[in-house]
Amino acid sequence: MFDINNVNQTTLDFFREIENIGAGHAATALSMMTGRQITISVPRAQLCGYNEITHIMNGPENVVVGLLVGISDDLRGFILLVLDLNDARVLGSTLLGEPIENVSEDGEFSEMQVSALREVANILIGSYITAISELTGLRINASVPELVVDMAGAVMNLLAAAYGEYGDHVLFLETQFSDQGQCLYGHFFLIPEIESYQTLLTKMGIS
Amino acid sequence: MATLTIGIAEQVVSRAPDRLVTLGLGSCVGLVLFDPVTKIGGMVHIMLPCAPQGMAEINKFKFADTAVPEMIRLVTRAGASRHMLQAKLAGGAHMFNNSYQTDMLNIGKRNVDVCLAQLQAHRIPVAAQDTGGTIGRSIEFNCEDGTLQVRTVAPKSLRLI
Repeated sequence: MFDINNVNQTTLDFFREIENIGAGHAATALSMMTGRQITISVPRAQLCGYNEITHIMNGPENVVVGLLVGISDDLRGFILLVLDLNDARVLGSTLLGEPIENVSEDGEFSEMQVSALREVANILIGSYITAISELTGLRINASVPELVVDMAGAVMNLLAAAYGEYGDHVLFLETQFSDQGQCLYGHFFLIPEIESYQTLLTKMGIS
Repeated sequence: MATLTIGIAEQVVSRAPDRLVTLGLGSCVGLVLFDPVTKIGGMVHIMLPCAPQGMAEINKFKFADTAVPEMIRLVTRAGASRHMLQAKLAGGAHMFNNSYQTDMLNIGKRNVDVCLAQLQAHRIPVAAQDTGGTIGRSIEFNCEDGTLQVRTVAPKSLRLI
């Protein structure tokens, strides 16, 4: 059985490769949508403990935007995309082609911005799912993204809920998107059910 | 006075004038057990409702069903009187409303339910609670006066319970 506390280098490399392909697709799609040249950096894939996760997002009380997609079919679980509030603002405004508006401090987005961000999640998460499907041949269905603006700790409790029973670590993937000098970080958390992890790795002949 | 911060699946027991803090509770529950006379209190950051069966080594503070009795043991060992103990709790939110797989997403409510059931089984009165909803919370317990400050960021709010 897949052990979340003991993930070897080969497995991490596999996830890095998924991320590389997925982020590549995503950058192309974002470039086409925005008409700007969006590039990606070398992705990160690593295991971290629960209390470390929120440090990546500048502490448990930092306000972030969480976009959650449920996945079903051959792989079951969730994909969570977490963006810093400011990065989300920039992305939303870029997509809408409007100047970066001031979002109120408690993170209220206009209806248009919310739908733009949902679209970003659709593109980014959709690209990952396509990458995983292409590599593994698994069929994956995704739900409509749900958007939450709240403390990083609260948003990421989902990861704790998903894997708390099995161990003290989660798999964390990070991609940096750059848009003409501006850097945006997209933090992805692949949250397959523990059985689906096994499916994924078996399919790739890794486990 | 010291302010002691508690991470996920961790606990701290202290006494007045210290303050106990845990940040960014979503579906997790922050539970305080305290004795208002000796002013000894303990806080635990609970992740999940029930510990898995048949596992040799578990972190008891991760699960509501094992954390409550363990916290009672720790606060009474520190000098709190067993029959004076009161509880306050916050958190247990439902952060996402995703249409399918509600089991995992509904963990907040189950965390609260198991905490309350455990407290009742141990005959510890709940002095205050701020649980459920769809928002994240940070909490700070003041061992001196027994108040629990609950802070949210979306929308911004601050209240004492």
